[in-house]
Amino acid sequence: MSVPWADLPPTILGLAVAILWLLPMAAVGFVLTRGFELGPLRRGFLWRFRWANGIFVAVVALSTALSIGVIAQERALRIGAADAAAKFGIVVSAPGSELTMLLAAVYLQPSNVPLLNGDIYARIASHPQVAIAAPIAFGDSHEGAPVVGTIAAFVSHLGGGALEGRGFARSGEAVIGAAIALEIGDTFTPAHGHGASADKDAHDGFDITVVGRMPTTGSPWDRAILIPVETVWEVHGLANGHALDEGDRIGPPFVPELFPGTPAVIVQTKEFWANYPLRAEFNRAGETMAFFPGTVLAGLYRVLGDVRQVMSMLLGISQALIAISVLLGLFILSFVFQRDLAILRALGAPLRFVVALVWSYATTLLALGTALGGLLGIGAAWGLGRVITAETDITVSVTVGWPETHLALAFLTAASLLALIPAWLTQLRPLVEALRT
Amino acid sequence: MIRLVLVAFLSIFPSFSEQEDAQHLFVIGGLEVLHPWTPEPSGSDAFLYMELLNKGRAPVQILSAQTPDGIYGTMVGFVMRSGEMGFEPLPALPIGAGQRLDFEPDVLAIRFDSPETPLREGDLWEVVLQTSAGTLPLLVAVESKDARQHSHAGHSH
Repeated sequence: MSVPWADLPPTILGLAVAILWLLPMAAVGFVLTRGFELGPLRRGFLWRFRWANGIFVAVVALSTALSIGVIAQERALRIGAADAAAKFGIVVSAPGSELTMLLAAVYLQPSNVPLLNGDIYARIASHPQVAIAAPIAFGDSHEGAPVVGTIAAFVSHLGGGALEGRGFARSGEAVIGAAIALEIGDTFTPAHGHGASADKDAHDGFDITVVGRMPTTGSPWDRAILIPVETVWEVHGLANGHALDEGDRIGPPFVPELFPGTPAVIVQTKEFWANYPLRAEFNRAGETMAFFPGTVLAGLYRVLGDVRQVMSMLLGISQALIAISVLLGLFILSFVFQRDLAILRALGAPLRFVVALVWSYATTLLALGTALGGLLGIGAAWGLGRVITAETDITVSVTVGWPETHLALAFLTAASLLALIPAWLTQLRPLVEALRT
Repeated sequence: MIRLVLVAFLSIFPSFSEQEDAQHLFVIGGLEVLHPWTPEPSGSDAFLYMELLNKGRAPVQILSAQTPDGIYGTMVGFVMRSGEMGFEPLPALPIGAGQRLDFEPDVLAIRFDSPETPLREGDLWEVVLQTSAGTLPLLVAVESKDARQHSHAGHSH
């Protein structure tokens, strides 16, 4: 049986939970401060002890920022990695590690993997439910960017049909990712391999001309150079998948006997439902494995989810310790203005007024710290997101969501309820003794 | 004497095996359904997983499933969107001759919305699978909430 609020829009549900978290604090505030004008005195306390107050606010802010930043960042990375893989329907490769293949084929992390032969490719590509069967060939690079061989239909699919310039139409042409520092019309020679040990002269004589640029995809393919798979084979001295009488035609179908091999085939189906039978059909023991990138990511996230829970727990404990420290500090500070409170009591202020004053003073500091922490958290998560995007080429767009908002509000409410303790203790001291302080 | 005991044990052993098969392997025509299972539901939905193999000469369509109390299960395919696993309803799925189709977590399942029968780990849940080859009553093993496979996964029957 579904819970009644399961169908509420996420915004309404998030807002409702946020209000629920704030309710206890609001109720205490209403009961304590009802009928009192506390503003001028509270402002006086805040100004008089502004340095100590500033430190309290900063400590709460840093603690809140850490929690918000870590949670928002983790979620943004999870979404960014999943979005980067969204256009890769089924990955078919030789049997092995799905994770290794996912990293190689989708996130373009170099890896030595076995190749699929021409017969296997032909069987995949000729399936009536397959719309695109894109062979992937990697191993070369240019100025650190991977040069990936594939087919024009896959380039069009990745770019959503919105290429600047045009797609490649013959061997020796290239379409560059959105973040590649080349222009349409430029030519380059790919280096053999990646990184510092890449051999820049290995493919001398093979000039490749840039004819198009893909729009931003938010994936490592933004920093990739896509060329016809035939070009990759040709520069390595291999057959190019076509018979001589085919002229300079590129793209499928390939002659199986002249197909040098591919580490992975990215399959897009004609209809959504076909993904599932095709995944099963392309999973052949000892021959091929087929997987959905999303399924592998889900498994990875499940493992990371346990780590996330531990991290959330540690962050909660750290926030609780911070709250206790701040309240202890407030308790000590309340002794400093004990005399002021005693004068108020001597002038006839009711006990509730004194407790309300100390509580509202403490809650103001906590609220300021939480709000500042929220802003700092957004900034920290945004900065971290930029670093991760630069390092991984996965677009990490950080937004603050309801989970971290609820966490911050829960902290604020819990700490404000705890603030009742020092507020209550300040008026327990005998009046005469307090006046002599 | 020892030989007599051994012979007696071996003579009853096949019946254990047959009994085990009866709870794990279900057959209609050329379609074999192995290890149907569900994790104990933690919410309102129950997801049925199983291994299907079409040993027949003609394709078989998997249509849906139904519980004895009349709750229909619909086939769903899992899809990751915005970093979260969700599911989309699917039409009838074909299994070609000689092909297999595995219903497994984060890939494919038959989803039951709020089954009336409370499902607890260790229970056997009665479900009728509807296929183009006919209806097939299944005994679905209820596994733990965090199970990722049938507790006999990998065993042949």
